[in-house]
Amino acid sequence: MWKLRLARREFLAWSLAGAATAITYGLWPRDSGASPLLRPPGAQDEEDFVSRCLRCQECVRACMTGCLEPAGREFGAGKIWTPRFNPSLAKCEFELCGRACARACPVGAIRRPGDEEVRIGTASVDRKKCIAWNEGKDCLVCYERCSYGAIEPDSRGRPRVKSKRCTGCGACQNTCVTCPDPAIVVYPIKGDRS
Amino acid sequence: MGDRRAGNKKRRALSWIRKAVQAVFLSLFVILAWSASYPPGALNENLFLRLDPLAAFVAASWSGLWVYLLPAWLLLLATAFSGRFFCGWVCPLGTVLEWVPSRRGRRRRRKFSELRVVDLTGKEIGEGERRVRLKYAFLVLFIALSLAGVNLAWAYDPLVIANRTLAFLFSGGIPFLFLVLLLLAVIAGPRFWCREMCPLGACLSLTGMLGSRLPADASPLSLVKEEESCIHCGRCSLACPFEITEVADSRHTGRLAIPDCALCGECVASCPCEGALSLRSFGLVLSSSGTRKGGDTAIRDAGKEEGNVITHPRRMRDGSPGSGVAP
Repeated sequence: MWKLRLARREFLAWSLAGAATAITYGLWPRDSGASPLLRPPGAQDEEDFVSRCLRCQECVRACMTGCLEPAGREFGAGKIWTPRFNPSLAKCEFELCGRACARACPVGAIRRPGDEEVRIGTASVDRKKCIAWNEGKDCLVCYERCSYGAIEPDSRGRPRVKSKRCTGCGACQNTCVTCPDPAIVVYPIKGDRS
Repeated sequence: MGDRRAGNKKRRALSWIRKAVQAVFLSLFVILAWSASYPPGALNENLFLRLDPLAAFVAASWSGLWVYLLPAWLLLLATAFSGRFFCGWVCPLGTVLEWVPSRRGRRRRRKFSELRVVDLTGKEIGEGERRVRLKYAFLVLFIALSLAGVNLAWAYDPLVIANRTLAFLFSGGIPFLFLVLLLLAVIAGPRFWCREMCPLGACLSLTGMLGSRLPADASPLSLVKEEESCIHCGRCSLACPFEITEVADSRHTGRLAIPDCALCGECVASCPCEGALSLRSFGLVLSSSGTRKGGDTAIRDAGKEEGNVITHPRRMRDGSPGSGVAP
């Protein structure tokens, strides 16, 4: 019959390997908050999502616009290679692509709610970076690109986000002209995503 | 000599057929991974991931679990009936690792007496104190953590690693885990990962044991041994990519349901004795070993010439006669 036999040397080797893993995992830099971690449309709540996601990259490959990328280590070792929606790459065309990412997911970490239920995040204008707010320039590209009427200019031609209408598709962030970082950025919604 | 060569050729055919099958599945895997890009086609691009019982375990409590992940349950069912055939014939990662030129790959040069069972620090393990392979610990850890809501499939699962490797290669990324596994294969032997570490392999090994009592006639793919024809020369274990010694040691006649056996048939192809080993499907002989009658001293002498064969029935390392392995 099978007997468990662990020599002292082997035990030590595995303990060291385990300790090294734990230390690497613990000391890995966490989300600094500099660039928000957005998930594909229809992703489960963050905790559920991470505990399901296989990091198989099927959704990243399946994306029509190429707006997904594997998350780097800046979001913590536990989230490495999970799909990250980065609006700076492209906007999310969840109404056009037939939810290719949800179709591609083999474990149901991304599912397919109705289009009207999709809320990837909410856009927010950084008034210090926005040239309409900060420099008084006539810039409303974000307003022009938004398909949901979620950005409206105020009386002085400065963009304001109507967060109730915003789906977080990222068109505004993708098109924003400020350099090097966009002045309008999509942030994830805390808590329930659906 | 002519006869013997012809026999060898015929037996080697099984090896080539298996390599061809592996190549087909590997190509399919690459094609599916490539065609996973937009737009979604008629193909099931994530078919291999849906074949994976460990991925299915991660997906537990999802409503699509039973219908969408049907391939995984079918694979488990097939494995219960015929053992770990997936690893030897289908698994794309296993195929790549098996084809890696390895430091330990030159089996033909080695002698059976040199076949060592070692633990992970390289210390030799005697036959009597067989170690529980690490992969079972990985599997237990994997399931325990899955129940606790921590998902390790992404780091451990061979199909996931293989899929991500291709995705990274297509997009110019570096597949770190795959490189580690390649290095491991070069250092520790082609199938080291599959034999010792793979959690999917452990899952399939255990599932295969569910049907270990099944006779060969009821099994879709089975390795059958005729103890009477066996001269215990040990060539089968030398040829085995999984370095299984039970095939040579076993005194059993009938289906050999060995947990780690991937039904690859390398042992059948290497066996010199007529009918001692065969690969069967529902009793139908797919490939049978050798041309020599059992007990023929000529084969022992021939083996001696090649310097490759122990000329007496193999004994256990503690000196006692080898005992049969439970079927």
